[in-house]
Amino acid sequence: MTQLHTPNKQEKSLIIRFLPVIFFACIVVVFYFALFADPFERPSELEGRPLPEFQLPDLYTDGVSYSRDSLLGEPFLLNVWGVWCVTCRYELPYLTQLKNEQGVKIVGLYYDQEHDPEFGIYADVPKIREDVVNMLSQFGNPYHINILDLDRDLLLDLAVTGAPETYVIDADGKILLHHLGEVNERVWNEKIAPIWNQL
Amino acid sequence: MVNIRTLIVAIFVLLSESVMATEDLESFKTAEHERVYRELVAELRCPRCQNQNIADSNALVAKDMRNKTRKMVADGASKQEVIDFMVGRYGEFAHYKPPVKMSTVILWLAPALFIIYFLYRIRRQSTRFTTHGRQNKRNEQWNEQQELELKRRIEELERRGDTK
Repeated sequence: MTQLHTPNKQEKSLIIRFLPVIFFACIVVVFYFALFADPFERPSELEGRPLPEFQLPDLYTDGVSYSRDSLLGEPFLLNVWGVWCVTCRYELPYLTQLKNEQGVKIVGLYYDQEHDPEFGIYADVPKIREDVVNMLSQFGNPYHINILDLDRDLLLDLAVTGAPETYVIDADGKILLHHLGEVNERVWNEKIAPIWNQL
Repeated sequence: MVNIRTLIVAIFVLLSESVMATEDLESFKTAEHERVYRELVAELRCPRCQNQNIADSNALVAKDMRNKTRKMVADGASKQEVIDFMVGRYGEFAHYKPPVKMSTVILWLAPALFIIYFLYRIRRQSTRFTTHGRQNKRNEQWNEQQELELKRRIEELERRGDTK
């Protein structure tokens, strides 16, 4: 009986002795995957939640404003962008193509970086309008309407971290997808189209 | 020379931090609000950055989160309310103190398990190499194996004696 037990004990101590090595191997595997992981590829809290309430002006026209309810009725993409955003220049032609070829309704949410009333800095809205018209005439205008969120309140409610970011919103105002970064053909085909085509 | 230079750099680093910390604090009426705000900006994580809290980051989103935190604290929001607001939008990612959940419990258990494992290793090593431990081990081996062998031989001798 005792002789049968001794090799088992040795096996156990062998496992315990190699535990640090096993642990190290696990860490290496985790770090290897972490090395190639996209830090902005993480689950969004917003998905599955309703579009937040807001009351914001039109980018071009004084006195015209939009609310959550005025946008609902049909599915649309909400695209956060700005003239300062370099990636948006690559995205605008593709979004314009989506609008023209597939009739995708795209609402622009303009992200201004300058406006900061707490420190006495106010955005120059006429200048923004001029820059916007210039940029859209150069790269294409995919937008059905454009909303201006100078105080960045809706942007904060939408957990925007930068631009571009794109939300897929259904006819009832539910956020189905929150994509950080550029929308291009690959992203559309792999990530957005499967959801969009079911709407 | 190098030591003096290091000292100067260290002093500048220390000074710069205190300057940065006071930048946002002018608007607070009570010391309590200021304390809560300081804790929050150190604890909330900039969602745009690679591992920076919102106090240290110059990203616009971090600035907006600081502004929102300041407004909420000045309006009497509790620390937890501000954290819930940010985590409700930017996810657990935005808070440096993750809650204990099934998916995060390993963060708490792993260090404890490590300590237990190494204490166990240290105890084993120390008992193995003391003469006392070695002596015990020898005695045990004698008792278990050779005692049996001895009994077997005695029985065999007795059996032989019977057959005679």
